[in-house]
Amino acid sequence: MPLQREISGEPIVDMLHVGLHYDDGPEIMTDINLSLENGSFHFLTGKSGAGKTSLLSLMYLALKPTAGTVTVFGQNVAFADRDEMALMRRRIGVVFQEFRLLEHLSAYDNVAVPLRIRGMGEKEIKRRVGELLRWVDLEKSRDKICNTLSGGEKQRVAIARAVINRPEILLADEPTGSVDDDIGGRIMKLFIELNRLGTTVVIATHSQDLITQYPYPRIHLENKMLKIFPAVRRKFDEA
Amino acid sequence: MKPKINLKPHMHEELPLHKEGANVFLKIMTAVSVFVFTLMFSAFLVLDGVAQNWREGMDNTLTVQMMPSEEALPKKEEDARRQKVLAFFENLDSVESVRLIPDEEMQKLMSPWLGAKADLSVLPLPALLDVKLKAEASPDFEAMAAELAETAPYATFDNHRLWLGRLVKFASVLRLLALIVLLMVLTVSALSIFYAVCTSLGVHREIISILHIMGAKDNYIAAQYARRSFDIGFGAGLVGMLLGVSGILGISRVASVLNTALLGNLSLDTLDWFFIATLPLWSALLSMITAWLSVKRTLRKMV
Repeated sequence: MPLQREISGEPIVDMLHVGLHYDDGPEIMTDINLSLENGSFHFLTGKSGAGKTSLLSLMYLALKPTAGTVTVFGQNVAFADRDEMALMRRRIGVVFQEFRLLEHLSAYDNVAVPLRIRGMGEKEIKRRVGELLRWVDLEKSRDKICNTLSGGEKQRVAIARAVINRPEILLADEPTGSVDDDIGGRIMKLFIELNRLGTTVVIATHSQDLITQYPYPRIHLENKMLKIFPAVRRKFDEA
Repeated sequence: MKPKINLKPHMHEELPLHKEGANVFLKIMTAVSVFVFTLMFSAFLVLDGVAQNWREGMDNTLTVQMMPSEEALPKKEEDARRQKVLAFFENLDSVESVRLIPDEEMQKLMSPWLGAKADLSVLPLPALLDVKLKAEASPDFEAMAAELAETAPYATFDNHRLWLGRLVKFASVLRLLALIVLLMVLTVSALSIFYAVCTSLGVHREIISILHIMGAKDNYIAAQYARRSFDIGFGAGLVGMLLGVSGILGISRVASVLNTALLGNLSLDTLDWFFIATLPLWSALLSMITAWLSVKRTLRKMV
């Protein structure tokens, strides 16, 4: 995989008239149109229950829309078979709000999961995972079973797992919610660095500080509809 | 700190399948299945051999016995009685040849009971005729017996084919039963694995969902179930096979006192033993394939 991806204006995620509801439940989203350019960086905001997690789920292909079309990496997900979906998901990194780690495994093995899924050799896995765990300051906890880690440590494991594959799209749900400012800053720095290398980033957050601190546009969900706000530049410019 | 060295491949398995409670059930079920399979398969092979032995005994012969007269008859009259029966069979279209079993042969036949030097002339033994039927002949034995009773009421015959045929039929039914039990064992084993896998997939739904989101194909998840099932199938299959072999050896010891002249060879040959020795491998393969297909089938319903 090239270190620096070519950033084009082509949408990497394209949603057209997308609607979503669960089984016979009410509609969560109606007529959503969203185009994420390759290499873009967005915050995703909205009140609790506004559908942020559902929108992210559509992007990381855990859900299929009940109306409209979702195109990811140029492929309409409605026509992708199971193996094609799996290959597309490998190009997407996800940080869940509730971490969703494999609690019976160590921090090391959790971060190694995406690489093992790709069939990478253990030697290369050891090198990559070791390097990343050092970076997120988890080297000392690498062999700890996840259900013994603190919330902050779990969040860093989840982030390390999401970025270990150098994803083309990174989707993060409240990634700095459980960590202190210092670690939060390092995590944002990692995301920005990945974005500079070509990764498209979407961060769902409630944090107004984060939105004002970093100069990225905001996708806002409200009343089942979606609006896009331009970047707030003030704090970033000061920085 | 050096990374932990995974000595066992399942130590970092994302699905904690080797810790599942259902494994105990699967191990017992597999061991019992292989045990029953070993016994039933051996019974099938032995019954096949016995039926074959009996089938070979179904040659085209009849043994006719002529009881001596109650009052002592002169030798000439006794010979006439025998000739009458001899002529009866010689005149039948279905008969190829008739032979009166000579005294020396009778002496030999009776020697196990009366000793080699017994004087048979003083005993009221029946005279025997060996009747060979034509190869393609299929006479009506009941009509033949009725006609013989009318011509020479002192003569009767054993129809080997009739009772051997019944024995062969009986052995065939037993063999079929053994085959049905074998198929039932295989079906029950496969169904148990299928339902255990379905239950496990439900229990580990969250982990499977995470693995899918990380980009795992169904094959990746199925492979973990297949590995676990192969391990259980082989280990428990080995135990079941060893118990089964112990059972066979025990039954063989009891069966060794039976009449081998009637039943033939009751032992298994080298090829049979070789197949039985490979049963743990077959058990492992069956478990593995069933688990693989069950996972693939169930996962297809997930997003």
